[in-house]
Amino acid sequence: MNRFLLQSIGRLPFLTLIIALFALLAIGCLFVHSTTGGSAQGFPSPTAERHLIRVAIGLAVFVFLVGVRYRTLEEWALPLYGFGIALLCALFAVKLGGGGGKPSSWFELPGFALQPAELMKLFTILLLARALKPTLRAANAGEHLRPLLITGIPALLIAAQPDLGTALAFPPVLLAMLWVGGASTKRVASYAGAGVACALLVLCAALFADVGLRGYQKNRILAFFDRKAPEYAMNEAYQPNQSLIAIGSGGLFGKGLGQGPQNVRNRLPEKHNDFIFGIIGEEWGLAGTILVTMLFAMLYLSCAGIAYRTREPFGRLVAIGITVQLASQTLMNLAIATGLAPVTGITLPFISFGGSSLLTSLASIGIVLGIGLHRIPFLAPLENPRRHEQLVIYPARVGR
Amino acid sequence: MARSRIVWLIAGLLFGFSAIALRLTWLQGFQWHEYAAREETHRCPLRYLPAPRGHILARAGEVLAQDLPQHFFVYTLGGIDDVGRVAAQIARAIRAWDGGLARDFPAALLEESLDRLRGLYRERLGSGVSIPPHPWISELEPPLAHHLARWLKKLPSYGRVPGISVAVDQEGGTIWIEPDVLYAGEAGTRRIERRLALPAGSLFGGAPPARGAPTGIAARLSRARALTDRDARQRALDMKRDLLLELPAALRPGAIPFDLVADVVSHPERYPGIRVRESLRREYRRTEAIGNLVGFVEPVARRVEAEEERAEAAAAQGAEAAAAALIILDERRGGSRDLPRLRDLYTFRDLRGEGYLWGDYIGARGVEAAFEARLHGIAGAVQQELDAFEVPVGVPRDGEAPIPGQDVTLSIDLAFSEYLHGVFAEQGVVAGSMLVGVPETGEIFAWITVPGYDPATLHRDWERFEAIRHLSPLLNRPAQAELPPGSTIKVVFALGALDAGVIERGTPYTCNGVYDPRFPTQLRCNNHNARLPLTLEVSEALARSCNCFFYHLGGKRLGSDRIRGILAGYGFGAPTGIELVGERAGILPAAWPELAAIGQGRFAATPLQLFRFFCALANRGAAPVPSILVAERRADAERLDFGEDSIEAVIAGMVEAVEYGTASDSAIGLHDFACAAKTGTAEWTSNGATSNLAWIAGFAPVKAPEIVFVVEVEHTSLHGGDAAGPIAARALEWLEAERGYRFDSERRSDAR
Ligand SMILES: [Zn+2]
Repeated sequence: MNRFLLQSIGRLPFLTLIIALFALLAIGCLFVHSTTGGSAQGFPSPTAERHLIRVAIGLAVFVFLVGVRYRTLEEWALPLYGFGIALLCALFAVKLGGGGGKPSSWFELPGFALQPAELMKLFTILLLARALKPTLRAANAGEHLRPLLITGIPALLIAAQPDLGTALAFPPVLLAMLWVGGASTKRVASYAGAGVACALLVLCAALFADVGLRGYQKNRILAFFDRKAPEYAMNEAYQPNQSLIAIGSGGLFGKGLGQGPQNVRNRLPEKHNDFIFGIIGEEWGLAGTILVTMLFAMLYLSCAGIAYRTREPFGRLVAIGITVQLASQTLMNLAIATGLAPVTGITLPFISFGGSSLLTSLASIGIVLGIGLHRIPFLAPLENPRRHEQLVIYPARVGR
Repeated sequence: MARSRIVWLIAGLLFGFSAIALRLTWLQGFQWHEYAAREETHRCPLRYLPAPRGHILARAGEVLAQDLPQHFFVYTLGGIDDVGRVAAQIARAIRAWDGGLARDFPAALLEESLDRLRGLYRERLGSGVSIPPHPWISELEPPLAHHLARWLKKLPSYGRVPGISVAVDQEGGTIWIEPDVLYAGEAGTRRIERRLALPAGSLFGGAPPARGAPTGIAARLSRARALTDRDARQRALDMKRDLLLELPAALRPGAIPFDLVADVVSHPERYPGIRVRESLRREYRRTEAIGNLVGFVEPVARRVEAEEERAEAAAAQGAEAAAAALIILDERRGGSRDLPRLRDLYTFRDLRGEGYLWGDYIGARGVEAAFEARLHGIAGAVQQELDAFEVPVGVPRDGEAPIPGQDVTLSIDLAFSEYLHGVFAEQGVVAGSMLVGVPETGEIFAWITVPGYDPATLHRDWERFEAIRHLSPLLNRPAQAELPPGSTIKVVFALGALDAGVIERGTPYTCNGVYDPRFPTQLRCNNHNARLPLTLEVSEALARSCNCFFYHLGGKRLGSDRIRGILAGYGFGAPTGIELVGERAGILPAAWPELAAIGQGRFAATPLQLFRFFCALANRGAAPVPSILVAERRADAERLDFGEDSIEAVIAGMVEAVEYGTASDSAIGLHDFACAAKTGTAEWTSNGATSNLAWIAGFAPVKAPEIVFVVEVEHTSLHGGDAAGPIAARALEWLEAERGYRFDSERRSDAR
């Protein structure tokens, strides 16, 4: 009996992860339908239909990655990373080559807009985990140069696209992975402090000396602090204001799916995408927003739980990296939608309409689930825990 | 160690999601009402419904003033002209381009260029002929052109720049404009100009730069755009204005053809920035006879401006702002943010009775001002869902109907008033007034002021009024003119002296023509030139209006203090309490009791005060408060302290005045009626010229008086009886002929 209970608890993260993931995907489909002119009768609106196809593709990738031994991923980490960097550079080449009015952060593929930045997040985590694994106890800063470069190069390339919102997802992932990877708390804290100081410096330079940030980026920050200023009311502050109105007016139980005036009257721009949470708030009220928030928390706690259970360093680091990356993106999106942070264009994982983002998020969760299922026995000699790195053996597929 | 750090990360995650959950609980659980209200006001703004003012009716039900519906156009500068916003957006985009040269690129440059371009299309805008696109800025550097093209493509739907497109080729880029779209607001005003057959440009204005400053909307636009304070600029652009103010005077209220109104309502996209508003217009009966009594209304906006000016002036002098400002329900004016902005129906229900709408009228003068509280209705409002074009969708959801103001029925006999007004004109009276009323109740049925105004045409008459400004055409004379009462006041002193026992019936006094040899010109008597010297007692002194008798009475027997006491006791020196606002109190004499006794010197009374006194005399004591309303506020007549004998003595004097005294001339015509009257002539110096102020006051018939009259004629060379008497006689005649009074019965039966 006790044993059964323990087994059940041991399986709990997988169960909760699957439940939360599918619930979020379902809510996403409903609200993409609701925000793209879908009526109550004909369920998939044309856009929702495309979204469903992408969810299906994403789930296929998810299932595939759950099945893949993640040791394979470790072997593939470097080529994948190189491929991602090549894509980002190709975007730059297109941009600098004067490709006319083409947008600069995605490739137009038939039926699909490929955003290398989204893929790059995952590739970076994989390579980072591989690079950090042997240096679990690294003490000197020199050892951290490689992880720093691995994260810094794609982050800078993406920031230059310019896609500041996506680029900002990298630093927390790096810090979390370093920390869990074993770097001293003091050092990680000093990196974090340096990062915050740099950000403040850039901000001050932009606000007071008018260098660094682009005009609209600066205005978004200014608008965050003065939402009612007439200069921003119809520009940078319009979206967050409308989002707040949508969420606030939803009340406790909302106005019903497809019934929200802000939604129906197209008051909230990007409502099927970055600001979809505003419409959830409007149409499902506090009940819906708390449900979605709890589902997200449940999903990421499950991921963290898998990382906790995984003793093998690469798997653990990948799981932590993915958890922190998705969770910070989610929290950032929710903070923007509820007016707690200035606007940066980032999507809400699993819910927003989107190709690359949805695909990457599902792939990431697939990898985490795979890490959890492919438990590789990690035999650490109990008598000498300090030297376990050298004693690790990785038998293939033991215990399945 | 790694595991404990993962636990810490989990704690961090939980903290983050809890923070979001708390924020959501705050927004949706606690601030729900505020955001719901904001959402609702976006979607269903309140549409205010003005309440019709009450009618003003004359005694027989003739409508003197009423509210009629009218349509008019309102516009917002920002809605009618997008060019400023478009230029600002493009300038922003250029500034955002990091090519390096454009950090301070000014929007004004683009705006000026777009304004100049519109001159090219002015003739064709709104004519129905579409204008092909036109290149605006060409030979842009390719990177900038690319940047702009990208920017244009990425613009969110709420920030679009209509009528602008960018074309990029090898040599560079060109920005094209679509005049029909870019200048759609001006095209709308042109369409209205064409429909109303107005000269081109009379609404929008905007003369080409060569021909001097722009006019009309264009001028307002350039003024608004020139504002450097961004809040003020936005307010100027958002403020709703009346398009009719831009129209020539000939096309004022109600002149907009209904099909044009219908077109603007049903095709709002063709008239950006212009909306139709239905309002009420005050329509007055066209008559000058009682204009000063009826008064007129003024826009609330003007009253508020005046109030603000007064408050500013008071503040400049360091004084406290006195009166409470009007509450405006539908607008929050720039400076005064403490005024409530009634955007939701709940607050509106609570406060609507206490305020005005911005488009309302408020009584400025006369009855309109006096009965403001009764005439002014209570505004209503409906909550109306609007679509993206601000066009109403479906039927209003909820609302409050306006409550019309109450009617006011005046006791004024309109036909009689118009007749009397004609008589004044026949007699060549340039300035004067007349009151005729019922002594028993104080009800006034003729209230004439000359020169008067016609409220219906007032706005066109200002130039005429300028020419006669020294005659104060806006003065409501019976209540507001403070005039030396002349000899009419002798009745008051005779009565007062008799009552006090200072003199008695039969106390003789001999008049030599000059009272005091030291002042032979000031204190003299030439009212009975043919009989000098003459010994007379009080009745005959009244009949012949002997000055010396009253010099003596005032100077020797009464004295200043008792004179003031008598006047105050009979209601002089204080307003009578009639319903009108702005009634004057007159001035009581402080010195020269001799002059005061014949109604001269520093001594002034209003015709209304005399009217009230003669009512009391006719009633033999009861002095009602004069009223211009039918059958209201009766039975509160104050009794003046008259002795029976004193009254009969005074009335005898007034009857004798008509029989053989100052009002007995057959040219006057009062002789035919059984009436008691007292004439008066005050010498008056105004503008360096001395003229007479002629009075007659009295009542008829003598025994049971049915009417009291007071006539006052200014700037005449005649004496009281000769100038004012005939008017009184004509009034009595008319009343006998048209209203069935019998004033002459006793006398005619005597003659037979
Ligand atoms: Zn005399």
